[in-house]
Amino acid sequence: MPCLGFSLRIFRVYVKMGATMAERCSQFEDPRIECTKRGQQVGWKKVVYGGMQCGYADNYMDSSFLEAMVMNANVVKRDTATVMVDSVGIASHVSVVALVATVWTHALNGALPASALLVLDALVLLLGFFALLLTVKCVFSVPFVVQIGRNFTLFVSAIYVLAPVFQTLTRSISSDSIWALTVSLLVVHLFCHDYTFSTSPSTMAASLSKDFPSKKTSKVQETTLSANVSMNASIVASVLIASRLPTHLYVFALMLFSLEFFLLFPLVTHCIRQRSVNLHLGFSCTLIVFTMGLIFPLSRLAFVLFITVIVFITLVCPYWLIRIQEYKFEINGPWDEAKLCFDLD
Amino acid sequence: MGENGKLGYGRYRVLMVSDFFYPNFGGVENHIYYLSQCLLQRGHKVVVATHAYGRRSGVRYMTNGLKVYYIPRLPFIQQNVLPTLSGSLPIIRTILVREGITLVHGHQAFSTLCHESLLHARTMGLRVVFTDHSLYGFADLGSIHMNKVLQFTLADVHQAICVSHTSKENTVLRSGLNPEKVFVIPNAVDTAMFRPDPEESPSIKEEIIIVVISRLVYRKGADLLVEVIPEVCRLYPEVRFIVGGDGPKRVRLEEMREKHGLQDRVDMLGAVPHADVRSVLVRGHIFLNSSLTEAFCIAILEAASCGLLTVSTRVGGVPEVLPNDMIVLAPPVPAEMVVAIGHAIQLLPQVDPFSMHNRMINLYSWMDVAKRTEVVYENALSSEDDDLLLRLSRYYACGPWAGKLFCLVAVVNYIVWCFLEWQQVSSSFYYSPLSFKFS
Repeated sequence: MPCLGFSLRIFRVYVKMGATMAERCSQFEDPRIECTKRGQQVGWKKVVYGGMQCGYADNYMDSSFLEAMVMNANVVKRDTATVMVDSVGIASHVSVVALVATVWTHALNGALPASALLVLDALVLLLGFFALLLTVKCVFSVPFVVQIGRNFTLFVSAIYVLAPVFQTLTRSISSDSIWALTVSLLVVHLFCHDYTFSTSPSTMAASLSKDFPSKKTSKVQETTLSANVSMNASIVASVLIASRLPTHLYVFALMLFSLEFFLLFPLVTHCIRQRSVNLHLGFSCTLIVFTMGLIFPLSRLAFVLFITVIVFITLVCPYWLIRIQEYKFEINGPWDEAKLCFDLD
Repeated sequence: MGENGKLGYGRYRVLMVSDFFYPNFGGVENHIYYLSQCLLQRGHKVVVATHAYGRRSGVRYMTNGLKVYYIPRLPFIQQNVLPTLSGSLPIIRTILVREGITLVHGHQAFSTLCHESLLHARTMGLRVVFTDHSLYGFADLGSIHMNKVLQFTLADVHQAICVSHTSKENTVLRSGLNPEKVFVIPNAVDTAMFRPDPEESPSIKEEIIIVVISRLVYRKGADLLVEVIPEVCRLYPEVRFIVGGDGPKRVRLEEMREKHGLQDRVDMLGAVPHADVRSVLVRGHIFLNSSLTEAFCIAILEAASCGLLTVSTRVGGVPEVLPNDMIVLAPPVPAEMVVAIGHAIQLLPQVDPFSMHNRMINLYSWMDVAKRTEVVYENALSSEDDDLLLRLSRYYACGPWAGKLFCLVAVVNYIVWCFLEWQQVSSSFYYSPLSFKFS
């Protein structure tokens, strides 16, 4: 037993010696003194190998510190006029929603007979069609018109067939719930709507007509989740309101009216914008004024609210955006995660 | 400084704190372990605190008497404990007082236990050092919150350590810390464990083997591998790949292998335990790293220590890690990476694994890291003590809303500490012995 302990102690001594020799007896030396023995180094280098750099502390920085930092590289410079013109697009959509809500109110009050509503539907459709005709720059051929006619017929007949279903859909739900639900859905629709569709220049119009199969759009506009959510919210709101009406012709007329404005109107706005910005501006302003005129006899409070919202969107928000843009501080540098330059399939 | 150039031998009693420690394997874990071992060899007292891993809870002892406290808190998200601000104060205070700690060293910005312990240490008047191991962005929501938390912690830290110069720039920008307080001390590699073994790899005249060992995730550039490997196999018929590691992108690599018919030229090993990494590395001639972001890549050091020539993407702190003749850099673009691999293949005949290994012994050593860390500790201990009001003024300057919130947190923490002091005075604690020697 004693010799075992003794041999263990000898073994430990050897291990310790080996460790000490492996460290080349520099275990207790100050790295700042030690480096002078390693030879002179020419200047400070921005590297981390080779231990402490001679004559420089570890917290030394030279002029290359933060040299590779790039500030605000991707920030878009905005000017007030452009932002205001773009905000008119948002304001026009808000006024469209207000317009539709006004017509709903009149229909629910019984002030609008079904026949008048049907005539209104047809009028709006024709107007929209002519607007498209005037603004889309493509050659009109018979297959194109036939295709549009076919789509349109499918659309209208689907709504006509479903009208009886819609009529009895919310019979057991109280009116208060309907109004509350409709208002929330319209708010969701406004918040989630894809406003870039009507304001961005793209070759989306080419995809309207199937006459150009060889012309591919350079950037395919993908619908985002929020755009889908907003469209669905508006459709559900229309169904809820339409289901409050007495006859199914009335239901069909109101549904058609609502869907014309919610689904087909953004397309018209987009084509007008494509054609000319001034035309779009004029069209939007007319629309806003027209909606104001419609709301005024209905309710003073709604009118004031509408005016406030429009002013806020077109005047206050652009000014605010430009003001806070000064605080934008985007930092890029070698520490950023690299972006892949190819698409993952 | 002592006499005979002995730098603070046996002077410090350090608590290393982080959510990431053994039995987890990773860069931070290894760093804490090796640094603690070297500081123990230099005679200091080192204690590690981390959260409990499964049933591994309580006090454990590791090699050379390294005492580890596995605090009984469960991990909440991504290995971090639930942040409770003053909730961890009682147990951290107990550890600090019992062990007679003078300095707390926290690791990794993403660790909630680290941030809380640094706050408690400052409340109790101890010195605080923080080491940041990763790079973070600025723009997305998670990063913005993380950076604000970091700003809170670093508003009151004595010194900070970063593992590369790029990491120092990133930390300084994220936290608004004075750059004079940040020291650049890299990680190192255990060159005794990672030795080359040319018997294991075939001669470069017959076959050239490229090794890839990384987690197969987006951040580590697995998508770049999917583009690069088929191209390299097409251009260089003598090249074979060994891919070790697992992750969500493994499926893409398997698909790539099937699509190009590379089953005999690309070996997929799956997850490689840390103990087996060396045996995989020595089978190759070239090490390929395709990360999209790295503060400091220890995998490159391990590969260089095993005598492999490295090809890597030029991101983050990677250009600072090795001298230019031991690494070939390329932008994270597949075509350029293929060119870089070709260049590396041409350089291979001039590479001698053993001379590379010997150079690595001189370039990196954990003992050197420990000595430089001691210099940082010395700076921290010699900085003047701060009372609560000075600390609050620093917190207040962090922002119009955040400043007030931070002051509130600090004051509440102080009040809880005062209560704990009243309830059980520090002097009544049982002190652990200063050092634990096995001789």
